Amino acid sequence: MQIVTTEPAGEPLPDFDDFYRAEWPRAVRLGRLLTQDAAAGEDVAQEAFSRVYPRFDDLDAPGAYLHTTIVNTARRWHRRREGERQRLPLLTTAGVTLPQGDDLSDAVAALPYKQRVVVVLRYYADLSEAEIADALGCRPGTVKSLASRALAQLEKVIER
Amino acid sequence: MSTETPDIETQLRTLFDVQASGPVEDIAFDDVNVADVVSLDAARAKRRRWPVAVTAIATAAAVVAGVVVVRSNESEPQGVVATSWGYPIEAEPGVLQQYELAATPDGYTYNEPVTSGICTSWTVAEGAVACSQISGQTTVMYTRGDDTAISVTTLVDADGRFDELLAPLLEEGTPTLVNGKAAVIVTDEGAPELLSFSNMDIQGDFKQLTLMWSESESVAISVLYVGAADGAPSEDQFVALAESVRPFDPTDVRLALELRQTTVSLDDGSSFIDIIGVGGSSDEPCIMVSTMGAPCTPLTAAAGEPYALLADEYRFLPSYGIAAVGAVDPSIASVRVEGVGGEPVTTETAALPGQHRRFFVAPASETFLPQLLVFLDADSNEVARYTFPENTATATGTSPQGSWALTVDAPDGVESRAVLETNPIGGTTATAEWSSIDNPIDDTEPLFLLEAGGPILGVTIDRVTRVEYEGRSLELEHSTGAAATNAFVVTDDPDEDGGSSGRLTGYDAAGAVVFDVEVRFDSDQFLEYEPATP
Repeated sequence: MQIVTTEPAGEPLPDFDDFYRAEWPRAVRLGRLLTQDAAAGEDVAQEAFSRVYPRFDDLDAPGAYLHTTIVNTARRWHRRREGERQRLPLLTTAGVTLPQGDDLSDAVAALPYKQRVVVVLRYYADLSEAEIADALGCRPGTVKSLASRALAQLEKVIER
Repeated sequence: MSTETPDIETQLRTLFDVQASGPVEDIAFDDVNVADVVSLDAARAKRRRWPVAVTAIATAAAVVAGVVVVRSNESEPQGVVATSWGYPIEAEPGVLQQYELAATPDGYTYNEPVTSGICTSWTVAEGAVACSQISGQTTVMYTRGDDTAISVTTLVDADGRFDELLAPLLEEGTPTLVNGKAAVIVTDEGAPELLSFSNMDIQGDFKQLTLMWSESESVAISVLYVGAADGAPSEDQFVALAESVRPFDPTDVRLALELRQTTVSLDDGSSFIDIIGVGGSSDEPCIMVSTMGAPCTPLTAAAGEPYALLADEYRFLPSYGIAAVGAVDPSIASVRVEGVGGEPVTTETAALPGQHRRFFVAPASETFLPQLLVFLDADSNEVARYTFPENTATATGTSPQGSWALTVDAPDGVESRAVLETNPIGGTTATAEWSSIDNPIDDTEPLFLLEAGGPILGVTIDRVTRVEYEGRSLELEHSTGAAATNAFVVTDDPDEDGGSSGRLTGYDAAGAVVFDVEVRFDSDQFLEYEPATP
């Protein structure tokens, strides 16, 4: 499945409404996978679009920018939720988790965030290492390292 | 017959396709005014066409109440309320309305509005949240018990604008929004003073300012997230969070300029997460410790004295650290630091309206030990001085409410530590402790930090060229933070083996250890590196 939006050279960029309509469902799904929470995925996507919107006209590659924003927004969501969990345990809602039920899904959910981002972007969004590195703000070598560790961890789980 | 197990990559693709396959509600972007999206919770309300104005969350040890007050940017104003649980309630614009919600097996139900008026303050105590109305009436809104009854309140004016509703209600001592920007009117002996703030960013999502009201042995804190209300980017939109812990007298106002969350340890061995605020009104700075179950005390230092060494401003320094020094005497124009082992660097980081200045003091050399702070006026005349004991800086003070002592030291020469002890008269001694590794992340000024439950760490020591976690080298990347030349952040994940703790060691180019500390991680933590954009 390809989630990235490409902007073919020479073709006019879409306006924001078109971009939003085209990307919204996939952005929500990516947000779900990164947060492992259905409702939060929608929130993350919404937040990401709201951040892209004011900059949209200046972006050469809004799809890539959206990806990065989703990754960062999901990370902030994790931060915030963890903070709420610690500070406001009664306020923190469980959310609607994604379909689980097998060892692999549990293992993916348990991965450190960056590792989870890498595997989601790689195997759901089909992004290249370079694109993932851009989204994470790190070097491709880091992506490779994260992916390697994530897969090793996941393989350990499913081999049990 | 045998079946072949797909490889891990194939299994992942299948898993993600399944997990992502749920229906996605088609929401037209036109229905969402992104400029009004102020938070994730608010965004959810917003895209459901619940225009959002303010989120109020009141908390206490055993109480949590959440209210999202909403406004409309649409031609037809709407007053709609959503709780923190995402439960929407239709509300009549222009008036405060309270609804009683009751838990049912199917969720919450609510009754017709039971009261109306204007909620001017929030109070949380003893398992209840109260809304003080402008009439002076206080209504218990929320209790948490077996029956879990909840009430929520709206504050939406006839035009659906929160600030326009509040503005005429704002009198001395209450927060206001001026031209859509953060502002507050502080009353101090009858002389209102307008202060405005920006970039008071605590949790990375909102601009924030803090108000503190105090009376003798109680304190209430209201936190107001503020920002532009005129169509600026979403993160500048305002969300208000009102949090108070005791009844308070709103005419006795302290303005907190800093806010820190920390762990407060009590004499009985228990501890709780709490907020420490440091600030003051025009000529009376104070340090306050809010409480969620413990006494708290406004603390006052004399004008001209460094009122605090704030962990919030603390820098990780190899040998010793000096935090921001607050000077409240308006005549103070600069601070000179004297010490041994090198030259310090002193920078005035903020000259806030009123009579408060902050000076950031940092040694230019890792061997520098500060010994004396000298406060100077514009003509370089000495106004006041403060002496640091060797390796330890202790500031003490008294107030009608009690005494306090703030000690900052670097016992191991690596990790700076600050301990604030408060001794309220008739109350219980409380100690708050934090260290250089407790600072919140700041991607423009990366700090060496460890924050439980969130992003983990950045390394800013300019001498550090290599960092190891449990003997394994971590990747360092140069930061482009404007104030962080030669700063690094760790972008690798030290927790690859799922360990919960380990030693983090930093080395300089010559291989000498710059720091060596024990760090902890929990299951969902990760290393944070905030890129410049987006």
